This record gives sequence, C-alpha cells and structure tokens, in this order.
Amino acid sequence: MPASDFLSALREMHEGGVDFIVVGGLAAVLNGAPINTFDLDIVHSRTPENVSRLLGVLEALDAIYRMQPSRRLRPNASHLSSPGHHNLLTTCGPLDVLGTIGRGLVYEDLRPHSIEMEIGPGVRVSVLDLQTIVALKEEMGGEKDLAVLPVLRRTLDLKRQKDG
Amino acid sequence: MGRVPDPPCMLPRPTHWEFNAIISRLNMADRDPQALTEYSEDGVDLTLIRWMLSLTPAERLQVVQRHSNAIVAIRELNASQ
Repeated sequence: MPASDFLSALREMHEGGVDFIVVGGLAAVLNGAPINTFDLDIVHSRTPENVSRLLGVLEALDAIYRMQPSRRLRPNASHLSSPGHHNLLTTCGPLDVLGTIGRGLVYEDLRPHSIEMEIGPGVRVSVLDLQTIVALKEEMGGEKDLAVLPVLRRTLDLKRQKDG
Repeated sequence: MGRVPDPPCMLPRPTHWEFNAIISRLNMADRDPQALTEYSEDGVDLTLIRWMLSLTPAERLQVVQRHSNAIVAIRELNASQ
C-alpha cells in the first residue's frame, strides 16, 4: 500500500475545485485530537458538476477500489452520485469518499458544521468541527467510535477552555 | 541561564512562564510520582492534547502524516511475522 500523503491528496482536490469536507480521524486530528489515522475520509457535494470535478482528481490520483485491488475497479460518476461509501486506494494512500455519514447526513447538512483550515501553503480545506464529530460518534455508538470518544471529548473540553 | 534548546519535532519552545512551571514540576517529581503527569478522570493524557492544540492545523497534519507513515514502514519491515 502506498504511504499516505494527506497533504498532496487534499491539495489536488483543493486545486481541482472540488467541494468536500474532511471528516473522520483526520478531521479530529486537524481539530487537535492526539489520535492516529491511516486514511483520509471526505464527504463530497454530489452535484453533477462537483462529481465531475472529483472524478477528474480521482483519475489523476489513479484511484481504484481497495476491495479486490487486482481488478483495478475505478469509481465512475454514477458511483459518486450515490449516498454510498467508496473505499479507494490512490497514489497518495487510502481515500474514503463518502456520499453520506451518520444517519444519512450529506455535504449540505455538514457544511454549516465545518471550519476552514489552512493545512499547507495556499491550501485551505473545510474540516468538520470537533463538536459535530463527537456528536456523530456518540450517535453511531459503534465500538470503534466509543473507543476514541474519551480523547475527543477531552480535546473538545480543552479546546473550549483555550478558546475562552 | 543557558539557552533553552529547541524542542524535538515541532514542539513549540515553552514560554518563560511555562519553562518555570516545568522546572517546578520536575523538582516535585521525587516527592510525588504523579507530579509530571496529567490524566483526566477517564484516563486520557491531557498533556498530549495540550501539545496538539499548541500546533497549527498544518503542523498537526505533518505529525499524523509522519506517524502513520512510520507505522506503515514498521509493519512492512515486519510483514513476515
């Protein structure tokens, strides 16, 4: 599996004009949570124009589905227009492209709960805020979500104290 | 007092006040083994969180990038085990 290069993947999407929000473990890290993660999770806008821009970026990143990588299945516009999850492998490492998260939340639902962050020179991306990440994990309540919740809750507490 | 050395990785250099607080805690450590730790009631290491919050998002991204790549490299080195 290629080493993760989160910044390059995010830069490609930023420069490609893709509307997306960073969610999941990397969003928690960008919000200051001391956890580790190996993939990049995004929720994208599923308008036809944005799906087309995203497809162009995924092509440049040589994205294929991680399941049965030997078959080199590539996502298409129909796949990316669906609410499903697409677990991809790219030249920048694993990338999960998610039509929805939680109980059917789409890009437009999450947009008001995201914040813009500069993650590299000239690269600004939308990142889901920590309060919403915690709320989603509490709602889902899976073992993986529950395991990381104490760290996320304490990070949220300290972040609130720090921000006054 | 000599110059405070640059911290490893991307730790920001402590302010004068923070440096004094660290020295004070170090002096307490022989009397109280918990003096140099800071855990929440549910066992979360708050020092790690404070450190991450002291970084910019770009620096946090670099930290997680390095960590995940280091772990992947170690896994590959030990793939036969």
